[in-house]
Amino acid sequence: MQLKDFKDEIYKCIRCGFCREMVLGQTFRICPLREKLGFESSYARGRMIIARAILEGELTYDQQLIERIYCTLCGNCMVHCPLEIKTVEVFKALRADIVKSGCKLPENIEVVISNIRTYHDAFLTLTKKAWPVPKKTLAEGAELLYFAGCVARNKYPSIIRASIKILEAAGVGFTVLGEDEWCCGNPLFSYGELDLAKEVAEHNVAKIRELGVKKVVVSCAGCYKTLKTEYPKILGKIDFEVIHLSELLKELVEKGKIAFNAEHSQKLAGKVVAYHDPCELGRLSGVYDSPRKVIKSIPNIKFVEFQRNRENSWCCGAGGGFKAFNPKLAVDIAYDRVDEAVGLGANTIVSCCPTCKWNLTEAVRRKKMNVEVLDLSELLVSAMSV
Amino acid sequence: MENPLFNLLLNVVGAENISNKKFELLCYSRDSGSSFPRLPEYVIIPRTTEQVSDVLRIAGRYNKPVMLRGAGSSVCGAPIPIEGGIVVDMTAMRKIVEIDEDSMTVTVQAGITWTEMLHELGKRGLETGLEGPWSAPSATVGGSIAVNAICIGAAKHGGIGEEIIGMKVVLPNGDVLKTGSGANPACAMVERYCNGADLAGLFIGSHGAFGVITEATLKLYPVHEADENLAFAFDDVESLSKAIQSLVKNRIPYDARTFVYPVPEQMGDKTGIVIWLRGNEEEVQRLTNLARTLMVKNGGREVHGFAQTYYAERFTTRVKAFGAAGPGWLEVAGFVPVSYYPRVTRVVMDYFAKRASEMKNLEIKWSLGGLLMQRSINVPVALFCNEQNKEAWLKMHEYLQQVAGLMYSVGVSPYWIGLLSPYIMWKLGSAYTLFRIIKQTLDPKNILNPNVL
Repeated sequence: MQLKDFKDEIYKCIRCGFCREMVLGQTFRICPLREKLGFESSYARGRMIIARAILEGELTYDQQLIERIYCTLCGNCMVHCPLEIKTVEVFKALRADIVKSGCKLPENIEVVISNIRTYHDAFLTLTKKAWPVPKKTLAEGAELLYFAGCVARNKYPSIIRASIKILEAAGVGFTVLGEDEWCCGNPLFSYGELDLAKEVAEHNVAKIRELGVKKVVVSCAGCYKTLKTEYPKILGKIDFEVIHLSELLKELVEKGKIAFNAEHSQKLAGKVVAYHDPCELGRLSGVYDSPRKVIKSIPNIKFVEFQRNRENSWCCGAGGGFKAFNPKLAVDIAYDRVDEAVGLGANTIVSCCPTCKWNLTEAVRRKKMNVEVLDLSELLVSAMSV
Repeated sequence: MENPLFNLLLNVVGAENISNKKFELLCYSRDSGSSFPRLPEYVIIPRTTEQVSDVLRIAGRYNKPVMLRGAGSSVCGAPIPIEGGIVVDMTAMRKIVEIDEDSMTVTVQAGITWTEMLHELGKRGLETGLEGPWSAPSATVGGSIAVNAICIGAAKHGGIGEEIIGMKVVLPNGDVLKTGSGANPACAMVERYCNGADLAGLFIGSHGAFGVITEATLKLYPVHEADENLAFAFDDVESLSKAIQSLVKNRIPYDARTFVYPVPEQMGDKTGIVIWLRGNEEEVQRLTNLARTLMVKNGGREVHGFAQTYYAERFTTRVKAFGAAGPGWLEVAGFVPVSYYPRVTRVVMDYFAKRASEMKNLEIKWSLGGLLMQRSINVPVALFCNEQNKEAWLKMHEYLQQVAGLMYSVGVSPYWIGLLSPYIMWKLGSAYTLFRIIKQTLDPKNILNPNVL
């Protein structure tokens, strides 16, 4: 959809400012970017004014405005808007409008787009060897495909290894796309590069269809939302189900398919785990309970909730392609989340998104904090007999 | 290009806290209402009282008008900038300076929101008498004082000034002033009326024309123990007004709101009132019984369930309703004795009845209600249109001007002046003359919000 298609949505804003810094009930502040930048243009109310000015021809894109448009797309403003304005969709339409207008995008964003266009991967670091497991053949009767995603492949192959170990140990038949797995296109949908996004979506869907699977399980929150929500928008109905790994793990735990190892579990004693809801899995997709149930099933772990959790969760700072665009500010935002965890007495932050893990880990390292950041699969596998 | 003023301001607040980019200026060109936008030349975000002081000194030197901005959630045009002036965004000054549990006061920086302040106070079992205006999740304490915002709890505690003990204010020449007992450097801010005349009152409702409020000290109370919400429908405004008078006489509600037009479905198309009672268990029970008796005696019929939802969702109710009706939105409001209420509402309803056809064509809607104060009722009249219809948007301003004049003529005293200033202030006679003299004395270059008086 184009910006003009959101005209009524944009005019709907009465500038009440509840998206600025509301502190009410379990909501403590709304916009991570506004907290860092301060100006009206850095959060939803100002962006609605900007979008309206673009539509009315009062404002045209220049480099400074373009750079201001990018945020984490965390959606906290959207879920707290009394008028239920689809702010994230408006922001994405603005980004697509920038691309359509032919303006030069920020260099860091161009790099990501170029990587995907050339290498079908958001990163340049991937080599064929980096794919941590060989492409498997579809197991007899298996209907499941495991989709790893660029960030896990490039930054955290440990997440892929852990996920695969768990699935194998639980007796789940599955396959992977291996080198046929392209970037899901999440950054392209975020940056408004929709033609290329459609191309990668078509590729991935075709390859998944070739394998004849009925279900795709995804360990990245960004890939999950992209496959589940964005692909149908751009391609129409897709004929396979998309689930997040945490949902499958919850099912396996409930069916008793996860065998915990007493000795391994014993080593987890003293772990105080805070679960960080990834925006694209939680607030933007509604998956809150599964990861929590999995964590709580692990022996010897103390589970604590962030003060800001579920739909009030505070973004790690990396979403919406923001980490690639402004890595320093992204980590500055992550500090807030890590500090919040430490304030709870947590020594481990668990998330269900490799990008959250990446950004939170950088914050922990830079601050030299004694906090471990793990993916759910990594935590679970450490307690199992594998 | 070399810009000495920009550079001077930048030196005060730092490069990350000043902007003259058009997209940023546009974001500061409006408030929550449908006043016509105006672009400032600069926006700055100060972090300290000293920075505010330096900015005012510089603005004075360059004859640059300055507009203060809190949350920008007003509908009265309070923070709409002067074309080419400086907007000072106060929202970065949002610390709680001190909670003094011995004197039961809280001192906050002006840019803190009401709900954040109450969140922090709640951790200690404390609260302020007022909850802030209906935009409290975004509205700042300083902005609310500057525009004399009517707050939730006004029926019990009165206007916002009643809950203010003192303030720290930067005068137009950059001097910093503390009011009340705080004027004595050796004393804490515990009493308002001392060390001479009440200076705090000068700044309450002044729209920043006399100075910039950077800190405020408010009264504290222990968190209330119990609540009750009640709603009653009435056949007409006359009987509703009599019922309200009985509430005033007996000092019953913490907060009360009336509906004249449109009336919520739950009221059965009649006028109605919602009432919020607060206190300890025993007191709330007593007030509930008394309110029920008085309402029924004056012709009210209790509407069950409505008031609980209304108050539970109080922070979003108005935004949702007005957003649906508009979303363009303007408001005129002011106080009258409750005994005037039937006449005022009749005048307003007659005015709109005569324009019903034109308003229907332009899809302009309106509403009329009431917010109970300690001794009077505040009568808000809101107008709504879709700003995509420019003709309707213009017409709405014309209606506003006319309704404001009409309401003033039947005794309504606006609690904020904002966009009503050109229609109202000059009619105040010697009071207006004195305002002008004070303004001329404090701000001879007419730097601070130069149009409001």
